[in-house]
Amino acid sequence: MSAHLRLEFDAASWRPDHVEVIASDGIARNAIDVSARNLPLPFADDAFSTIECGDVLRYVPEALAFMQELHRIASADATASFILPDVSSDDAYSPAFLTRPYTPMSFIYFSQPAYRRADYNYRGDWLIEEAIYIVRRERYAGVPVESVKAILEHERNQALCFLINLRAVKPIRRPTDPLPRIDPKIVLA
Amino acid sequence: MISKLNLGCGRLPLEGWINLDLVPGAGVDVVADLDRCRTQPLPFPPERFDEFRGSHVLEHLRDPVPFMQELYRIAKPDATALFILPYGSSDDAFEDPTHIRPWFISSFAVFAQVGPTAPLPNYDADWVTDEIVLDVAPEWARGKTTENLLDEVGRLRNVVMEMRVRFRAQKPARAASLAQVPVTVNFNFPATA
Repeated sequence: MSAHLRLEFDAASWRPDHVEVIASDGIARNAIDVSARNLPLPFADDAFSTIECGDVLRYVPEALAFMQELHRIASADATASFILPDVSSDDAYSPAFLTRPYTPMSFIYFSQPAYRRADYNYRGDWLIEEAIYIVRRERYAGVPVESVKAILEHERNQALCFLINLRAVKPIRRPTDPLPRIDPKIVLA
Repeated sequence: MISKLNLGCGRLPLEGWINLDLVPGAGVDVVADLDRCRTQPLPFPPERFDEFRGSHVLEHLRDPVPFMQELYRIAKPDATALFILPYGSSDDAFEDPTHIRPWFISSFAVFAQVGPTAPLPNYDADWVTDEIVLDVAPEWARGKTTENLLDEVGRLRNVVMEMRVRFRAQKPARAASLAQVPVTVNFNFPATA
């Protein structure tokens, strides 16, 4: 069983305080409202082994509820992939939609070890398997990785986007595990 | 007897403090939603506390103005409030998906009646910013003056590791007026692990 779910943000559905994604599971394409705190994704528990999220997440008002729902419909060890503009990039801010910017480190908040200090009532658990910043080849070919990382840390608009691959941890861990530090790779494009 | 309120204690309640959090838990004395102060007063009488502390709380609030107003109501004259939070131009300000807005050096003037920003309607609290402390890595700060660092904080990302703001409750509140009020910004250089 290796069902695949693809989620896409549907800009055509624009209304204030309303966010729709198109979910394609190979059988049907459904528009789903993901604005609400108790959003239900209309799929069974453990239904998917791969979930492709594109840049959906930055439009979702209740990210923790959304990621908990993705975790519910993911099978154990399912993967979920994301491609997002970085917080340092002007592209992360949209005038038309209530977007919030993300950074690769944001994704630790979708894992249980992030909740040692406080309980946000989030009950999903995703492990970060891979984090990659994409930078322009013309500018960064031949530049040492450590220099690229220092530039990304302190300047704006240098990351074209970042990619994250997550793995569903089921059952969820206790929040007492040590917080992982992630070290994104740099890839030229 | 000094009376102290720890705002948003989470799983880290402090001894000697009244610990308040949004969710019940070990060591939580009072459960209250700091983001509902517009409609739901905090469960304390006026002029109850000498000292407030909120570590990584402000950046989670959608409605911070009524919160500061409520805090002022339950503050004794000259009560102090210390907030610890990420600096707005650091990735940390956005990492946590429940962080609502970024905060900068200039963000706090609005909570005083006298300052560079127009007075807010229906806001009659008066929190004076006594000091803003910015944590910067010692290796980053080496050989730089305070002016150099302030300039970099204004231009670059991820210079500040963490920000601390100390307020004082000015009671009675002053008449609202526009004025340039100098803000004391100090740097701290914690040894990094």
